[in-house]
Amino acid sequence: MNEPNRIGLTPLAAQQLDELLVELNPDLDSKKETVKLIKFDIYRLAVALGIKENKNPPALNDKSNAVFRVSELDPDKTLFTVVECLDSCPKETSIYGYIEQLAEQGIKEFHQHLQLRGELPLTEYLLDKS
Amino acid sequence: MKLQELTIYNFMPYKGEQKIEFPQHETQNVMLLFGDNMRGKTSFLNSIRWGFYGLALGRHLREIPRANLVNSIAAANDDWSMSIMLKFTHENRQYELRRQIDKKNHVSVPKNDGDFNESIGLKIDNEVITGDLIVNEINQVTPAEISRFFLFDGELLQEYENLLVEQSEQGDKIKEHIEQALGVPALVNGRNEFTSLLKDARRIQTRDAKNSSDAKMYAEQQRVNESKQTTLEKDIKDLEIQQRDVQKQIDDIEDQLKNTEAVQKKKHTLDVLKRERETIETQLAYDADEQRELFQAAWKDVLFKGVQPLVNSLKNKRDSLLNATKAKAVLDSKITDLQKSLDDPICPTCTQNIPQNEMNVIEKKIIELKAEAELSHVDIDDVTAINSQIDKLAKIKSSNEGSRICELVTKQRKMQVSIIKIETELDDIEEEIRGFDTDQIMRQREKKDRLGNQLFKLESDIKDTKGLLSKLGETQAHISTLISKSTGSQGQSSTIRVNLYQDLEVLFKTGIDDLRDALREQVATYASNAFSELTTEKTYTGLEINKSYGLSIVDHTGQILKERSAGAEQIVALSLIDGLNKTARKTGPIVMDTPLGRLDPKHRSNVLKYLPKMADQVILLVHEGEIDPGRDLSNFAERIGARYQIERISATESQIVRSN
Repeated sequence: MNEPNRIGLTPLAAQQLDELLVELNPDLDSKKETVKLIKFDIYRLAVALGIKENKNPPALNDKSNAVFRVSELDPDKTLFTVVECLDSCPKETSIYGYIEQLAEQGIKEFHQHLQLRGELPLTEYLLDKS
Repeated sequence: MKLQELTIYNFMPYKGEQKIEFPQHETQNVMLLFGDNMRGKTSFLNSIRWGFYGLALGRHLREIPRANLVNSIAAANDDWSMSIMLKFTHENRQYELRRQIDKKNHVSVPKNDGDFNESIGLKIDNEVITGDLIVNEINQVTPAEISRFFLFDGELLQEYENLLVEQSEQGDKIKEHIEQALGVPALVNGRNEFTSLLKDARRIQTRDAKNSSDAKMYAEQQRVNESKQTTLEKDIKDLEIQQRDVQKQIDDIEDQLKNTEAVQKKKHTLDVLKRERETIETQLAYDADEQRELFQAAWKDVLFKGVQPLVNSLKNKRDSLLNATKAKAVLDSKITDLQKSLDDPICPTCTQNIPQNEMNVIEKKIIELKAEAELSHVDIDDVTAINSQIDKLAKIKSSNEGSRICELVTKQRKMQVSIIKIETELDDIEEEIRGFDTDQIMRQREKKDRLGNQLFKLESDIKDTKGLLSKLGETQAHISTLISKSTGSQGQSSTIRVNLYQDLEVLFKTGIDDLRDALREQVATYASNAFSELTTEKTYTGLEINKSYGLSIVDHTGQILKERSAGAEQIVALSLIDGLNKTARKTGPIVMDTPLGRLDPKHRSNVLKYLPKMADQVILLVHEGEIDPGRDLSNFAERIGARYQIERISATESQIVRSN
């Protein structure tokens, strides 16, 4: 299976990612130097959570805006390796295609939680239940 | 003098008529009037003061305007009549003094003192005393000047501490009051009179000396000095006017600040809360930054935890493959050994041929072992592949970012709850102080501090100028002597007059000093006696008095105690009051408002034991924090002749009821 050089999100998820970014970053008028998140940070977390929770993501329901270079998103191929090792990727889907699906699904969930609760339930995502 | 009865009508919080009978017994001479703060204890003290002298004093000894003396509820019902009647005995004569104010007929709502008519009536043994003589009669019994020592507001105790600071304006004012009560002004006025006469006489002497050739030069010097003296005197007068003005401004600001004390406290709380909120907000921002930083790497932490089951399973798989490899090696070795037996069927132990049936068993065993070894066969590439996967997955490292983020989220929640609480509190306080210009209050405080510095400078300038004037006086006296001795001036009437007034002035000055010293010594003796009974520290040897009647504690080494506690200040002040009271008059009641406020239980017990001995009648206006009716009364129960309680009717009305 050929691996794509770029992956992304559907326009809807891309817009939701933008909204998440606004929510998670400090106010634009904040003059102090602060740490700012970028799209990759949320994208990778969405994929990681999908992997951890053994999600079975559906195929994208729209055309993806493949704006992220794979070499930048996953420079040391960590995500690729994990998916490959887990062998959870369907045969007909490339590994990065599968990662894209996990990101799409995760970001949509993040956005939904944000809409419902007014904030991301980070403790639910990150709390080590073991 | 002994108080018998007080009848109050519409005076301050006491609406309508209220009658209080004072104890007459020789030993049961204490009357207690209990009342919470703001209920009317000081008003009770003022009712007696106003009855005697037509004067009621507020803070900073300011006179309370008549309109404020009339009970506000009665005034709201247009009853502007207020009166005090005092019955008392003095030298076996019966006195009945009544003082009353009424609104003038043409005034609808009185505002100024002039809007009232004041009437005063006095009967002595039922004989009516006519108008002009009344004040004189009252002063015969209890002069207004000494009222400060028998109508005593404990809240003013602090003022007596100012006596320790010689030359302070407040201290001078109190010293003046003390000396007025002790009778010093008679001599002071005499001295001033002779100083004035001496000044005139010197002027005439100088004028005469101008015509004398040998005294001409002195006359010129004296003229210059006189001009300097006038200037210095004017400077002192101006400085004193400024000093009074600054002091008045300070007093006014203190009054304003006192009224806004609660607001100031709220404002302070507001500022503290705002700072607290700011600190929490800064911490929140800092934590949010840390949280985002952790967020950036959180995906690795999630992956690390997500792949752990896989890593464990891979490791197990690898271990079983390695175990299988080891097992196969063992089987292969066994097979090899058995095969050798088949190939060379001689027993290595007994060197006999192995029987066929045994050989069959070995053959069977080899087949079984080969089958088993076949099952344990491991492809080494599989192990390599697993190792490769484990190595790749091992590269995913975690620094527990997830747990740290969870901790930060919990902390953030708590801080947000704190902020909500603070903001609710801020809203409440802001609502409470709405309408008060808190910045203005702060500005007033700053202004008071500035005025305090100004006052200090003025006091120092006055002291310096008085010093210059005094030196100039000496120079003038010296030149005057030189003029007197000059041939032309000897025997002249102006010179004779100067010499006479000079001698008289010196005589009065010496007299004043002698009287002051004697009075101070007497006050110090009485005060020391009182102090020895009041203090709980028996190693103190007594009190030392300064020129302003300030008292210092002397310890067992004869050294003056530099630092005194608030309680010690109060004990010293009470001792001074006793000393002054006993020096100024021999008999009479003493009315004390809140005298025990700052005392610990032991000192309180000492004071309560001593107070009945301070005067023929002792009237104590106290709250239950000062004298606990259940505990402290046992100290002097046998001395209590009457007990009253001020009961609250409303915020502006109180009632005095007898409770024994």
